[in-house]
Amino acid sequence: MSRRLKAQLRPGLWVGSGHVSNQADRGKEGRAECQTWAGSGRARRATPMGTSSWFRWPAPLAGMCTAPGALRLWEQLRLLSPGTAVTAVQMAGKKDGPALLSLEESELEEQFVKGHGPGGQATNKTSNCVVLKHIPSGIVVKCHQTRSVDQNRKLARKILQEKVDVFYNGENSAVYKEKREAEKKKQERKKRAKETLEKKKLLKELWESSKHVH
Amino acid sequence: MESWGPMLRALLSGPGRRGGTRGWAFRSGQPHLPLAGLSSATELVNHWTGVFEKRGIPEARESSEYIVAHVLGAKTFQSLRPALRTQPLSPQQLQCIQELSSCRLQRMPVQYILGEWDFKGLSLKMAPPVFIPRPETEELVEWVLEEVVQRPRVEGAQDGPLILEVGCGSGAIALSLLSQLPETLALEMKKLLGASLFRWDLEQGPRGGISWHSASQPSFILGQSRVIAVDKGEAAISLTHENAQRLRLQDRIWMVPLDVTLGPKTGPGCGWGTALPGTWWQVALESFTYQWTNVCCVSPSLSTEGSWTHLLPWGPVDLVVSNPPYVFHQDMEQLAPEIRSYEDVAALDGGEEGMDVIAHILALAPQLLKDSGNIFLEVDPRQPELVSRWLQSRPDLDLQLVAVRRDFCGRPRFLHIRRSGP
Repeated sequence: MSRRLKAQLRPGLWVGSGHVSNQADRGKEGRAECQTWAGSGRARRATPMGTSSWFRWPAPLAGMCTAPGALRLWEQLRLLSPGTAVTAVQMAGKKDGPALLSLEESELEEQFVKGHGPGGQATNKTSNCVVLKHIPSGIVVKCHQTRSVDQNRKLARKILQEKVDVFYNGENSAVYKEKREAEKKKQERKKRAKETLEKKKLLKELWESSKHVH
Repeated sequence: MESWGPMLRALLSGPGRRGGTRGWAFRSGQPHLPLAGLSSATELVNHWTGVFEKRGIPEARESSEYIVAHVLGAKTFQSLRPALRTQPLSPQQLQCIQELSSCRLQRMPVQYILGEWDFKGLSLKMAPPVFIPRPETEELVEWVLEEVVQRPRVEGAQDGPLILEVGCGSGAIALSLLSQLPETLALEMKKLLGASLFRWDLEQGPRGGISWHSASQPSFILGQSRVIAVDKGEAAISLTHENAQRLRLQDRIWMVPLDVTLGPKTGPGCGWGTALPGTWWQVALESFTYQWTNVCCVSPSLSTEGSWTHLLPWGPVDLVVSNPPYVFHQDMEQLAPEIRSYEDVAALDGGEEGMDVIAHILALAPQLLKDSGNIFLEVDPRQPELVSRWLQSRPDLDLQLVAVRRDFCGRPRFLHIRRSGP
């Protein structure tokens, strides 16, 4: 058993997320995780929650390093649409959220209170809080919004993704961009409403004056 | 189990509506009334956490948070609006919290106290003694969904997958799968071909027969993904049905009360280690009838010879999924009181090395599963090895262990087994 797996079994410890397939492959040379995880061969069906590992024969790694843009989009959609298994068909038709900087599982550390005890049927723990840490930036997100661990993990990633985006991009982050867009649209609407009102006023005056004439 | 009898009656009679107050007839021991002046949600959580800790109740803080949040209409304390946390609570709310907390002092699981729990984003009703879905099992569902969505269906491309779940419990796995799997051509087919597409054969066996009570609801409709949910517990079948109705999935799920471990004994010592070829499914039920739709009623005097064939009108299934009882028998007494005293032990005890039910499911598979069909199981971390060895001892089943997947705690928890041919 690798060091990483041993660490996962000790209670309360920070659990290093396992690398799962292509997310860490994109453009990152020399990542040891690429080769050591024997199971990460699924090009499309990567789970963003990386502590699962696969004992499968891996697909050729070359096949996974496809156009980074497309892959990123799919990952984002998976992260942004919790609870649905996203297929290529769904991806094509789906309205995109703001283009957030996607998170790499290998840079995340997840802590579950369930680290101790036999787990599974033998325990009934209700503490479903997920604590997620982004190692490079040090941002930590704690999520206990739902009673489902699965949902909390997805939400935690979503929240962390936004925070990381703000951290690195500041004013240029998607969150701020969206706010500015919304503000801009609001201003435009006001302006148009004002113009329409003035036009109506003008028309009314013209009508009044023409009536007067006749 | 006897100790929670009166509590069970009180529980089952309650409507279990979240956010409202519930009149619990049950009182336990001394009332732990909040001290004078405590009235906000946060203060109450702190108070009850202290009470639980003093009495050695595990997850003291989590339990009190869930109870208080539930009474205030939220699923978790964190999701409660901050304003609500400092607001004073009404006397009815305080009373409700008091009563629910009394149940917790009796080591009742929080899920039974609240009467509901979440699984894969679905809110499911919970009622003792039906097994409470564990969070690990959400990953099992996730894996199945990945496989199903990815794999192009070879035969009858417009058919949704037909899934068999063994041991449905509250319906967690079955319903979360159905809610995520697309319905594809269901509606169009419905219009074109009318409601009922399947004709049932009414067979008369030598000692009786089966009648299918398919009341007002049509049978499976082509194009839909659908589930046959099997459980030997009457309460489980009932609860799955109720949850299916709450989620409006009752058209796509068929519940069958059935004990998969009952089969004709061909020799002495039929443990999980011995082979029992041939007919497996013997229905040995008391004669109860179900008035609901989509639940088949089987007469108790059914001949076991060829009995499993009566399930074949549904056709061989694409997929078998199960979270079977897998606790090692010798570990049963170490389980926490929450589990031992309130949950059905039959849903947990897997016999020696926890393999009894697993072995029966795997031995059944060739008769019920399509060629290249898949089986997904949740197991104890010690069992992947055991299952692998068992499958090797049964080459006649043509089953192959394809993959082992770990849960979020890094323990090998899930198995993917494939049937490799006729």
